[in-house]
This record gives sequence, structure tokens and C-alpha cells, in this order.
Amino acid sequence: MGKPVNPTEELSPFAAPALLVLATLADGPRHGYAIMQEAEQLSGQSLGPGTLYAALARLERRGLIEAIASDDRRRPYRLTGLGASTLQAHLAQLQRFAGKALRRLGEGAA
Amino acid sequence: MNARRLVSLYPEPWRHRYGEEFLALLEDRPPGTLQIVDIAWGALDAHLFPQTPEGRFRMFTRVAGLAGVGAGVALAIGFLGYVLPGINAYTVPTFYVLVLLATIGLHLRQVSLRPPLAWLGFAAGVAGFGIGIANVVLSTAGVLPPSGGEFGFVAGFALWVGSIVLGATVLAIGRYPMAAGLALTIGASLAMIGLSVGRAEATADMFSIVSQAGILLYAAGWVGVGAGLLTAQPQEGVLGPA
Repeated sequence: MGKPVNPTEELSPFAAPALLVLATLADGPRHGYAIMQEAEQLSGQSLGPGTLYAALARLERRGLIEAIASDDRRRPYRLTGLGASTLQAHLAQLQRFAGKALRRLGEGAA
Repeated sequence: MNARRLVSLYPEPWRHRYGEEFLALLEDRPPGTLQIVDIAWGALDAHLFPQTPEGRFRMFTRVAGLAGVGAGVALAIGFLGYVLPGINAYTVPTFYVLVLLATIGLHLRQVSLRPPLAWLGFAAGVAGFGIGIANVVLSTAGVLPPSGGEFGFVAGFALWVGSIVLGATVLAIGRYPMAAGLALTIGASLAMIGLSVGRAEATADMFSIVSQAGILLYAAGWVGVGAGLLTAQPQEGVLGPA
């Protein structure tokens, strides 16, 4: 019965880890340990367990991910539709930003 | 460090939701020193910014409950300040601030149970405490005489009337130890009678035996309400899960 949550609401200080978690779930469900492994492969940086679960809790509350029922203690998570569209929007924004920054860098070097 | 001990750093609602899978993760990948620091940071975050409805309810009622207990203690100390010189005079404003916090918590817990009664108690309590706070602020600013003069009497009266209504709604809604509601209502009534009697006899001494007993009983009532809030269950309040 809480107030509606804005999915793009600031997730700080777990914004970057949250984006990383969303990215690790982009190609299918994973449980906590698998998310940590995938995050390391994807970004080259390790994600601490405390940071991972702080991000998972925020993402779940905002409806961007959901837990899948499982008999195993290791509960897998998957992206929701809202999570997938939010990730896509964030990545597109990052891509535009990177493109502009690279063009400026090229112009500066020329 | 033992994995279960690390999980125990987190608040209970968090452990209920994530504890088992988090424990499995720590067993799969035993944490080093940096990870232990990371877990402690995550646990602090979970306490300060709970993400589950139960966690938010627990944190909110804990703040309101502590405020209720603190208000009762502050009032008792403030009361002793009149009897025993030298006790900190800031306890009265402290009481008002804490009691307002506790009243908001009380209201949020009760409003889903009996909305009209809860609103009545909230309005009466906030009005009474608001006038009391205005009296303290205006007296401190020098706008009113140190005791508040005539307005001080009205403020005291408003405080007790508001408290009587608030205490009566606590009793009527009945989700607290009955003693807490009784102590609030009877204590505030006795304090008001003592205030009126003192006024009628033109003694200006509101601390007659009756009002002294009333004020202490009233303080105990807030401690009881605070204890009730501290032990509240999520399904009993508006902040609980749907």
C-alpha cells in the first residue's frame, strides 16, 4: 500500500551496481552468485555481496526485476518488461553520451 | 567471519526476504575482508533505507515508538525540573518534538483501523501540542512572559484537552496495552483538573497533588504507547503490506 515508485528514481549510491545487475540479467535469469560472476566478466569489476543485494532489493522494489519461485536456496532473478525497457533506455542514453564524447575527443585531437 | 553472523547484521524483515539466498551466496563465495566491509555497508543501508514494506513499517514504528518512550521520559524529567531545581529546562521543548513524532506514528498505525477516530485523535493531539509548542517558542522569543502568561494557561489547557481526546481514541481503537490509553486519558484529565483548580484558587501553582500525579501518569502513558509502537506488527498499520 506504499506510494507508486518511479522506476527511474535515483538508485544512488547503488545506481551503477543496479545498472550492472540489470545488464547481467539481460540474456536470462540468474541467481546472486551467477550475477556476481557475470558482472565481473561484463565490467571487469567485482560486485560485493552487500552492494549486490542492496541493488537487488532496490530493483525489485521498483519492479525492474522479479524473483522466480524456486525450491533451491539460490533464488534466480529475471528482468521484468519494465526492467528491460528501463535498461534499454539507460544504455541508449549512455551510447549517445559516449558517441558525443568520442566525437569531441576526435575533434580536440584533430 | 561466520556467514550467519554476517547475515544477522541485516534487519529482520530483510533477512526474512533475502536471508537464505544471501547465506547461500556467502557459502558459495566466502567473503574476504573487503567483502565483509561491503556487507556491513549493505547492512547499514538496509537499516537506513529499508526496501520492503515490512522493513519500512518496522523502521517507522521504531522511530515513533522511541519518540513516545522518549517523550514520556522527557516529560517526567521536565516535571522533576520544577520540583528539583537544576534539571535541564530543554526537556519541555524536547517533549513536544518527540510527542509530535510519536503522535504521527500513532496516527499512521491507527488510521487504517478506525479512520474517523484516528483522525479525531490526531487532530486533537496535534492542535494541543501545536499550541504548546507556540507557547514555548513565543515565551523563548520574549513575545510572551516566561511562563506564557494568559496564553500559557490556554496552551496548557489545550495540551491536556488534546491529550485526553488522543488517549480516548487510543483506548477506543484498542490496539495498545489498555494501561497506556488509560494512563494518557486519566493522567491528562487529572493534570487538567489540577490546572483548573489551581487557577480557580488563584494560586498559580498548577502542581497540586492531583496534577503532579496526573503529569507522571500521563508521562507513563506515552512510555506505554511508545512500547506499543515498538512491538507493532506490520499488518496492523497503514504502512503494512496490502
